[in-house]
Amino acid sequence: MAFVRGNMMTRRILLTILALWTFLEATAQPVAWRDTLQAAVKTDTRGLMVSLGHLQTGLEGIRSVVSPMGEGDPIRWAQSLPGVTTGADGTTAMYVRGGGSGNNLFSLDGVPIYGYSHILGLTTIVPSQVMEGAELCKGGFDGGESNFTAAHLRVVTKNPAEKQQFSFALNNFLASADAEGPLGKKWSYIVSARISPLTWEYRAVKGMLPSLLGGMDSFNATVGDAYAKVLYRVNDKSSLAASFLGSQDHYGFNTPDASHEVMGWHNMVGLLNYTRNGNNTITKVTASVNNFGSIQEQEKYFREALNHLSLRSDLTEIGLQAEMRHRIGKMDRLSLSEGINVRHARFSPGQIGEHSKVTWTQLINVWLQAEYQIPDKLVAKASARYNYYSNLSSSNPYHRRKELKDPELSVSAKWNFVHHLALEVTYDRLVQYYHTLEGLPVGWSLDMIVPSRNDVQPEYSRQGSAGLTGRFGAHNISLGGFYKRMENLIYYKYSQALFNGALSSWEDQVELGNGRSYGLEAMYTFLYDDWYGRLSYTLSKTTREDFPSFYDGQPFHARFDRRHVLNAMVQWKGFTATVILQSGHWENGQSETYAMPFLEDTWMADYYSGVNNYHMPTIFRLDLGWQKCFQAGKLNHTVNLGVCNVTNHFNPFMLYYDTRTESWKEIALLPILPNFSWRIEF
Amino acid sequence: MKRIGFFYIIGILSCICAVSCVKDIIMDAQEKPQVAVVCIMTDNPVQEMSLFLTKGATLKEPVPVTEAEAVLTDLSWGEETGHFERRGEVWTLAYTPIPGHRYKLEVSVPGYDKITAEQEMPEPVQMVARANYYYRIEGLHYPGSLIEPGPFVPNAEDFDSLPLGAKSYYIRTLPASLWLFARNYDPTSGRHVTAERICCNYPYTDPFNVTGEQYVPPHRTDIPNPYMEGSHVAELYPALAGSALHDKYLRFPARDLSDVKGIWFKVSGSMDGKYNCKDFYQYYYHDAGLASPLQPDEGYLVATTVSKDLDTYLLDAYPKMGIKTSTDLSTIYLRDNLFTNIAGGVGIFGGMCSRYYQWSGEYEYVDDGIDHKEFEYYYPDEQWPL
Repeated sequence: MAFVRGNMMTRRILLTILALWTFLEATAQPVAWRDTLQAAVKTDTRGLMVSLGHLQTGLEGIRSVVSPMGEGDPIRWAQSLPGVTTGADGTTAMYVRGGGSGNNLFSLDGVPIYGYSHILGLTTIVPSQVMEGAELCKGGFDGGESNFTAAHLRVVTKNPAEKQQFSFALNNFLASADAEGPLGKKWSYIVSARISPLTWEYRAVKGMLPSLLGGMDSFNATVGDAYAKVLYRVNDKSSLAASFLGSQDHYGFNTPDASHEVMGWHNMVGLLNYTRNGNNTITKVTASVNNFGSIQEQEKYFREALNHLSLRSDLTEIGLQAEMRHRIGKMDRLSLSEGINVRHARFSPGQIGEHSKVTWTQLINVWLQAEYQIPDKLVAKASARYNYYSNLSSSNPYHRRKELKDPELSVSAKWNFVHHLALEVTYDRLVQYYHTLEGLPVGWSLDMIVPSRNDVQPEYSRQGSAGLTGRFGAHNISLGGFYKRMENLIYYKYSQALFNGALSSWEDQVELGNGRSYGLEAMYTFLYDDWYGRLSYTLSKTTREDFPSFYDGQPFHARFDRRHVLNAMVQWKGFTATVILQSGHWENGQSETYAMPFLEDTWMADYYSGVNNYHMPTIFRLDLGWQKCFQAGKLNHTVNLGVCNVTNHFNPFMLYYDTRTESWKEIALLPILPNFSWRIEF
Repeated sequence: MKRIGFFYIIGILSCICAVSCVKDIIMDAQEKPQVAVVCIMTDNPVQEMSLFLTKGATLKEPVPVTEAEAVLTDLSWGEETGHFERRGEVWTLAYTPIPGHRYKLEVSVPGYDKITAEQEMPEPVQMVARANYYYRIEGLHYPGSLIEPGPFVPNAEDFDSLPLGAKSYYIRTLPASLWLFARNYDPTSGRHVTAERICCNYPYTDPFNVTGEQYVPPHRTDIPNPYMEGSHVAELYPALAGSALHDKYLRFPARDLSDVKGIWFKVSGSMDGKYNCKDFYQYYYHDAGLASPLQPDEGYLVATTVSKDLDTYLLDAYPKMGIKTSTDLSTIYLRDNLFTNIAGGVGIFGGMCSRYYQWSGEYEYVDDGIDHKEFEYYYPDEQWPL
């Protein structure tokens, strides 16, 4: 079967990004603004709620992260936390406590978002304007969280404001418009839409800097998203909300060597939520429809032969979640929760042409959770889930699977044994039925998601953590360790390839094995007046093992087994400085060679000593940002200016195979680059 | 002007950034190299072995192993046959393996674990060939064919489908897998190279390397028959028309041939240039192999029986060799190691016996110039001593 890969496309897109980036910066310079308001940065909302397993922040904490987009997003915020390592530099791929990137769950109001990256992995599809905050859960999970084995990044949208508000924003890659407010006494709304002017920017840059674009032609990018939420307050205790999120990423162009490249992904999420806050009982019922699809098309010449690929994947899921939480007793020390999640999904991964392989799955879990707390002394929580999973149909009867039943368990406790210090322990046993065939670690939502079946068992993880958290005035510290075992991890042999025809027969290219990870996590935060600082450090070791094809089943490095990860951030008034220092990740080393006979001929054979055996160089990045808020008339302005990678350190974004020179190359997405965002609210 | 100047500076900076953000990378894992052992026993009086270290991506040349102790033991007789000695980059041992015997190779290289491998020496193929020609009896010409070695047979059943002088082959026994290929003489390089395409009508050919192409007999012309009235259709192996073309090699898996007795097969393909083919008079020398001496510019057929592990290696190596020139980019990402039966290293320890055969691609009318007595050498098919 022919195969194609987007190495040249990747390179050209990245070069285009650089060019467009510069162009946007150029056009942004003449913008004039008037400082009519003293710098007022809400440092009180940036802080983290410190816990070993749960880290929370508000919108300001998310936005204050310096990023190529001019303002941060939940992923970039999470990437700076202990226990988290990143994929390719500057992207939204993340790995938590030794898990794969596909072992994380990204949810919006409790509904999974499967293709959450935007603009080639630079940001997420959820507009920051609609967020209330984010929470990264690494251990001690709630009963309602299921179908992942590493971490849950939970994004919660806000309720509409009580008065009409409008805002417009522009950054390097997106222009957005937002509105929210009441619609009568009981109704209120939020609408937000973003669109990327990449195509227009390309056309402008192409004429000015033709050599930079390398003769790339007919570039077009359709990138945007829209969010809408309507809230109906039934009474003081009950509300009904309907929301919609849609996103589109689509890129296409021709290259000088007559190749045509297309790739993209989309999400459509519809959600209906009913909430009732009773005196002693909280009830939530959520119905959702979720569609995620990706497409890769390429016509490319390699060694004078045309390789063609048209590959589509699609996942549609209908979900129903219901949960109730009861406060028991007069002291409100005990609460019980119970719930049920039902998901019915249709998978059609790796469709080539009209050939379609459709699988239906059903995942039902019921859960029960008990939480006991003594104020300022103890919080203890235990939750148990019971999963029923069935793979209802498959194109291949061999892969048909009737049912699976798996229990899950999460336990956590936090004990303030002295005034300033608390001991925290967690234990989790998790199961995951949807599997991501991880490709390039760039955070692009092109990785195929496949369901469990006979030859692809569910992934399991067991992890425990213990540590101390403390608060000493303006100082917060946490120090803990974790140990994690993972079973049935999927190793996808073509992970270095972007466009890969092997995805259509992915069954033949995957191997199951186990893994383990252990390490130390430390974090220190400081919040005082205009100063805010955060230092997080992770020392960990992550290995994969029991993969029959590699090292005879012996352990080897996980791809993102970064031994040291240090993130430091200092904010003062509107200024932010961020330092990222982390060990390089592991790539597959090139083969060794040796001469072999073949009857009366000879040839050079390849010998691969293993996988993930080449250690990439250390990553270092210094990012600087400055945020200015000011008022001009009735308009509130927020301007973010920043420079990513001030020292221009070469941090490889990804590797690609250059088909012209037939050699490997590494490309850095973030040389020293300016960023900009401007938001107007009224 | 300021705006233009600004864009100019930005453009220059962008170009610098763009250039600086792509680098070549050689991902040499710098791991300890493996010892690559290649020892394929033949039925020649001297055995050869090569010992090298696998070459890392940053090395220009492979590093030969200069210090080693290598012993070949005949396990069937339980005796050591001798030690290999280094002769330049090749290690040699003066010994002729015995077909059917099992051998063990042990190599000790300082700094490495002991390397061992075992293999059984295969039997050579017993293949006979025959050619069509006209024979003369009392001044009259008749079509027939000649088996080598063996009798000639008048009135060969496929006479009309073979060019005069064309060869067909018969395999008596096949105790080990047989690889059959043609070696063209390349006048440009002055060397023999394996013909790119080959086909046959042997019914148990392994289709592992069929190309999807079909054989089309070339040069279909009518040639006046100097011996009989009319003309003869001169078409090179028309019996193979439509046969699947294989990439370079024909592989006949080892099998019991009792059920295929009597099957003659023809071979053709992209044989170019002059091929070794006996003139008619040499048919009387019951020699199944090449007409000797082989002229330097002649092509020939090679029939090689291989030991079990060597056969496995060849089957595994074939697609991996194709990767080197494949236009399928996915092959770049394959990381499967080549089959090896070397414990403690890589490479192959095997055995093979090659026999060389003539092949005819000429249209020629042959006449042995001898008046035979009728049925002098005739044997019915079922009595052929095969």
